[in-house]
Order: sequence, then structure tokens, then C-alpha cells
Amino acid sequence: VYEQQFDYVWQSLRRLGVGAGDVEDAVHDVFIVVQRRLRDYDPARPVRPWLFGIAYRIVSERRRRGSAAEVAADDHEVLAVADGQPSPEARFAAEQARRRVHRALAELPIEQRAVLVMHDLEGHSASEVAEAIGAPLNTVYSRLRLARAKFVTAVRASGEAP
Amino acid sequence: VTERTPEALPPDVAGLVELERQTAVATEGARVRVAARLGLEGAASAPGAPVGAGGWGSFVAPLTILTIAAAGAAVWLSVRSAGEGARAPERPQPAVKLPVIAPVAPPPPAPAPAVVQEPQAVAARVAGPDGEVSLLAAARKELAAGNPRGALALLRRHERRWPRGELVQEREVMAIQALAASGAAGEVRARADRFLQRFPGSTLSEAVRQARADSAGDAPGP
Repeated sequence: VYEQQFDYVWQSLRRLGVGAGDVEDAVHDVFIVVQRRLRDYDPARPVRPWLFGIAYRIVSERRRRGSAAEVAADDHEVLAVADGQPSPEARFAAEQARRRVHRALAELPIEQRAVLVMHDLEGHSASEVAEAIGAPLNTVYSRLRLARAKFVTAVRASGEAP
Repeated sequence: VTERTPEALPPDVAGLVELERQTAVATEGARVRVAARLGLEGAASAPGAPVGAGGWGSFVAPLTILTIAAAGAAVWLSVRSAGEGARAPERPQPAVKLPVIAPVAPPPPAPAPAVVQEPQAVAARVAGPDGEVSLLAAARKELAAGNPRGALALLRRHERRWPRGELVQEREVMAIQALAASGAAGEVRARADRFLQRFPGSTLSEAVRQARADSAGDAPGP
């Protein structure tokens, strides 16, 4: 689980606004909870929504404590380079995109951000989102609508004023 | 369930999101460091197991007695948190549905598949540098690295921070093991006896007796 889902958890935490300097600690916290709650996990269900739910709660908790400095998108992160990236230009474009996307995400309240990340960036179904974050389906839809509107506006604004 | 909100992301934004997906995330170094902190040293380089019923074996195998016991305690914790909101008065408690699980001493039988609802209180106790489990995990790492004094320091911190914590038994067992590792046979005996008296019938008793016996073998008996 750790080996297979490490990147997923890492990326989810980054998208939820955990800064590059804090993400290692946050990943650690997530997997600690995973270890403790393995018994509650039903292997017949997809693992990622379950992990995302844990990550979301960890992020919420860290924010409440003020231990995670908010965002993140502009930090000067030395990114690992994915295998198979065709060219430096493509990597640069992807990195630019990452910054714009994360900066726009940072403008959303955490509840909306979690829904948008899970549904639109990670491709989970709305019912999976609802279960993972413990909110009713209707709430998920309404948060998603609000989140998309803000997100699109923010992303476009960042393109106009680079 | 298949219902979708009418509008999706517009193409220009969706394109950016697609690019964002291609950004690599964690470095291998980070992966290994976190694995080490979790006590999964072997797992970090092992090939991943398939996700599913059989896939948990590779994850569970390296866990120590602490973690296994903690898994049981987590259920316990969530149950007790239900009735003891007053223990965390500084944190506003949103309405959270708790899993309905009988408060059996750890480790409980595997609960029936259910929607996983993690109480915020559990995350609060785990997350952060002073969380119960974080402290114990750090102590265990020190112990595994051959630094029982470092482990004991962390365990004392746990004792101060969580005097009535949910993982007191796990802390005591580790403290006994750390004392044994540092050659303090007398303290091992005293603390082991206190444990056995305080928690008769604990699932961790055997580990305590073992540590006591091993320690007595290393040094002259009483």
C-alpha cells in the first residue's frame, strides 16, 4: 500500500495545500493513521478514496493547529522529474501548469478544494467523494459547483497576469 | 450515483489540469525517509503488492507489536472519544458519525465492512509532533536504532503530554524494552511488575514478561 499509494497521497496533500516543506510530515501522519485503521478498511472498496479521506482530515487538523503554513503553490520546489517526460520544454510547461493550478486551488476554502481535487483532478465519483469526506452527496455537488466557478476564474486570472 | 453536475471544467482549464497531473511529485529520498520513520524500511524498496484483499500482507508484515496493538487501540480510541468530548475541550467538535463498534479491549475482531468515518478526535491525537502515536512511533524508531535513551526521553514526553492517553500500555511496554536495552534490569523488573499489576490480562502482558525474563537473564536476579 505504501509503495503503491505514496505518490497519490503526496500529490493529494500538495493539492490540498500542504507546502513542500511540510508534505513529508503530512504523508507520515497519513500513513500512521492508515496503519492504525487498517482493520476498518474493507479491501473490497477502492483504497484511494479512503486514503484521501484520511489525508483530508489530516490537512484540516494541521490547519486548525496552524502547524502547516498555508500554501505552497509558489514555493521553490525542486521537483522530481518523472520518467518519460519528453523534453525540458514539456516539463517546464507542466511545472507552470502545476503552479497555476495549485495557486488557484489555494484560493478555495478547504472544503471546496477537497471536493474539486478529488472529483475533477483525481476523477473520483461524487459518491466516493461524499463517503471519503463524510459529507452528504448534495453537499458535495453544491461545493463542487462553487469550487469550479472559483477555480476557473482563478486559473484564468493567473494566465492573464503571469 | 451516476448523476453528474451539468458543467465540467472548461477545456482551457481542463488542459492545465491535465498538465498538472504530469508533474512528478515526491523524490525517492522522501519516499525512503518517510518509510523509515514509519518502520517500513524493507517495504520502501520492495515491489508493490497488488491492491486488494491479498495486498495488505506486505504492509502488515513489518509492523511491530506496537503498531498492531495500536490498530486495535484505534478502534477503542474512537469509541472512547465518543463519550469523552470533554477531553479535547480546545477543539470544536463537528458532528461526526462514529462507527458502532463494541468497546472490546484491543485487539478487537475485524469489524464488518462499513463506511469509514474517522472521528476528528482521532486525527487530532495522531497528527502533529505531539500526537500520541507520533511520539510512540518516534520512540520506537529510536529504540530500533539502538538508542534506548532517546526512546525513553520520547516516552517520558508521551507520559507528560498524555498522562491518561489511550496508548499507555504500549508506552509502558516500550519503556520496559528500552530500559532492558539500556541494561537497567532493576528498573525493568519494577516497571514490569507495575504493568502486570495495573493491567492484568492485557494482551501485551506476554511481551512484558518476556522483557522481564530476558532482562533478569542478563543481570543477577533479586
